[in-house]
Amino acid sequence: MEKIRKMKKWILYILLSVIFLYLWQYFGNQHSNVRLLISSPILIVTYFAENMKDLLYATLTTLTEALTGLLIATIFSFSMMIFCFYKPKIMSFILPIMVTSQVVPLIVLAPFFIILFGLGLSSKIAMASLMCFFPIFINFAQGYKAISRNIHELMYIYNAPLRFRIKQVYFPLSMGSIMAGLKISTTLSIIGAIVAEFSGANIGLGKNLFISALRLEPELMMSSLLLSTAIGLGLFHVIKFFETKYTNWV
Amino acid sequence: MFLKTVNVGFGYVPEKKVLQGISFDLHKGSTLSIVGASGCGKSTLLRIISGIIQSSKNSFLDGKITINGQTTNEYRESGKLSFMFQEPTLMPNLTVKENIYLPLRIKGVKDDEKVSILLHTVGLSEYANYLPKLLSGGMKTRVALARSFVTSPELLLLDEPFSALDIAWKSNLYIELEKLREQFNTTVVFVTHDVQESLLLSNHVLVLNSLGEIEASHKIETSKTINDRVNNISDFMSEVFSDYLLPIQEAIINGKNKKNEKMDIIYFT
Repeated sequence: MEKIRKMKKWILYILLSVIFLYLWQYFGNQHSNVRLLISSPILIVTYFAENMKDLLYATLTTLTEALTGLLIATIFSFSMMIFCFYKPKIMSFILPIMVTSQVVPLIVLAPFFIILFGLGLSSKIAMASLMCFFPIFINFAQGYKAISRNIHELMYIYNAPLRFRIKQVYFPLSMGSIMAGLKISTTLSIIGAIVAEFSGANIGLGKNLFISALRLEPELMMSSLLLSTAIGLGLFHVIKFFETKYTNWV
Repeated sequence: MFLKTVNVGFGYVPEKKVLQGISFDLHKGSTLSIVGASGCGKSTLLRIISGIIQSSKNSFLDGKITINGQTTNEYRESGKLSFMFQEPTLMPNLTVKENIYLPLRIKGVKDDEKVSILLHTVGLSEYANYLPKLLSGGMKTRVALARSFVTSPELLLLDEPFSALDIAWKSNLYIELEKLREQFNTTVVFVTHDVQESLLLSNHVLVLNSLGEIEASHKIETSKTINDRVNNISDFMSEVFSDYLLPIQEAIINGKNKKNEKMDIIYFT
């Protein structure tokens, strides 16, 4: 029964996609304005086939920047949380600063990173890391705060060393929140990398999107947009896989 | 004397004490029940004995508590203390067996046999690899009970652990608790709001009033063992009805509305 229900859902998705692609193609053929804005599926596929190597290279570059940024942000936020576990007073000092820092629209820092790190990968990685750090850290902190008082007291009664608590209690019981933070951060890491590429890059999907507007190349714009969506979706599902694996007890 | 409290008082402001003048002695292997109306400080007293509540800049704790000649902190650190909360407080990410094992893992001790025996005692051998989310409320409480005994504690503190269960589950757990208590010769201090439960499970009953003082204390003089009491509840209740059940209930009701006159004046002027 469940299988049939799932199959029906997938058939509906495919059907809607086909209708959408047909209408897109139809209006793309009929109206030049539509073609200039969003091109048409056949033109995009043709463009993609002709420039596959360049497009995939750009995608790989953006993916590398986003993933490295995400990894650095994860390591940094975990380290910071562990530091806060050892020095709990630091947490109450840091949190308001963190929240206030979020008032700054981080995207405006992209040119600053270009000046600081140059046009290479480093500036994009820095931007992606900065975008990802806060959601991971704050979600971890929330997950930790949600651990019941009884669990903390139980650990106290049994005289559990802090190292044991961090490894066996704080991390596992905050995992649901950490994963929620990571899911938000995957999208943000790609946004961070692309926005940094807008400000100046030799290669990448952001650069492609930027020049597509200048050169009026809707095929380049749409294929870059679809590729950035694809990597975002892929990363999201990788995190979802780990979430299912590590929080099956929820 | 195994557990000795002398004039213990506690409060979050010096003028308003949650507990005051609590003094009692308890021999090793005894079972003490603390009863009283809601908010009289039963759980607070238990937390003070466990060392969870200590004197700090936001709270005032006076008097003296010694457990086997040690302070509460020294005793807790010696690893001979165990605590069972009102909720089973299981680690949701660990299986039943791993949950029971947890206190041993903290100590770095490996003792599969003991865990298996405890699993068998509480009748959960078949569920050893189940996650807590798959267990009923009664089963979770049994896991928590087994976990409390895994370190062979000298002193076990229980904070209304059976309050959410029905009578069928309760009587089962009473017998399991007594079996384990006998096996490890554990001294038990038990907080409950159920007078019947306190009479079934303990040799001593302490009634607290709303001022946080001892309203009454009773030593239950009966030839019946706890197993006999639980196996024949109605007989035991008729035996203790006039000597203990009624006086304890009366003490709880009398103690419920006691007001600290001095306190009222301080607060409202």
